[in-house]
Amino acid sequence: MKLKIMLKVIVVFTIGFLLLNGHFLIAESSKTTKSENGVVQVSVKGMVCDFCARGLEKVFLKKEEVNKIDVSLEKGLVRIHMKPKKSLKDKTIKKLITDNGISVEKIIRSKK
Amino acid sequence: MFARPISYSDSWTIMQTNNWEKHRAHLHYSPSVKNSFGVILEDERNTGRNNFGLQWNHLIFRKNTKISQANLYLKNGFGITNKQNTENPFINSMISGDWETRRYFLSYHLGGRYANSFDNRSFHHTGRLGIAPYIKDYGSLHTWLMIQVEHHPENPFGEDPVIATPLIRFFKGDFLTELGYSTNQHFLLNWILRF
Repeated sequence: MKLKIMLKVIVVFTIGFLLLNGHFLIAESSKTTKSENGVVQVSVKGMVCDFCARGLEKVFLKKEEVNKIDVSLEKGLVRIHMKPKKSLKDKTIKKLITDNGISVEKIIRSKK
Repeated sequence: MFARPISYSDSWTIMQTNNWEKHRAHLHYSPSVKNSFGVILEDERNTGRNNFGLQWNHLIFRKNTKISQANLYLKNGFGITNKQNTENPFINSMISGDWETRRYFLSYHLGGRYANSFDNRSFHHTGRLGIAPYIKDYGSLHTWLMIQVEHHPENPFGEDPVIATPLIRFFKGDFLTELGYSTNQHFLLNWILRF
């Protein structure tokens, strides 16, 4: 009996999360990207889950120089999109990342 | 919920645990990734105790590689425990470690509590093994299949001191939840929200 109830609860949770997932994907795909000056790509170590990535996203988006960031858990990469005529020093980027418990491997700067 | 005792810097976390042993709520603030300070409320189902306390979690060590992260935490707390309208102070101390990649998860937790007078002391340790059946990138819904095994040497009901709980974890952005069912026939429902 308890097993049946548990199965029902699991099914409800699974459906709920899948619906929630779809909602966020739609919301994210409708975001517009502003024109940007440069993109800083940072190769990191230890970024294995969404909590780590979320922490980085939050601290960088608090900086007025940053337009948006993209995170790839798969590649261990953080791409920081700067606002026009704005930039962050490597030292600042490294500190923001290491203060969140993630290690910096390499910082690559490029123009978009 | 033995992993994730500290959040990213300048953030809050609410964690709620419901299992065969207790209902537990933990609210904490992390000024940095090294420490979190919070309050806990517990309703222990097996002993009939209610606990209110303060909790300090500290990251002793972290090892990052390109594909993994390993952590060692120390958790200490103190507070007041109440049973049948009698109150006593308690202290607890735990050490826990975890290692995870995007595919595998392993954790171990060793904890003890001392309460003056009734029930006086308890000790337990818990291990977890998890595997992600699929891997998606940041922002997607992540799913983990896990098995948790606990050892409570002084189980008050004289039940088997070893309890296993298969569980499923869903994880997306700032929210994580776990649902399981233990070998002593109780549901497990945990969740974490970060903000």
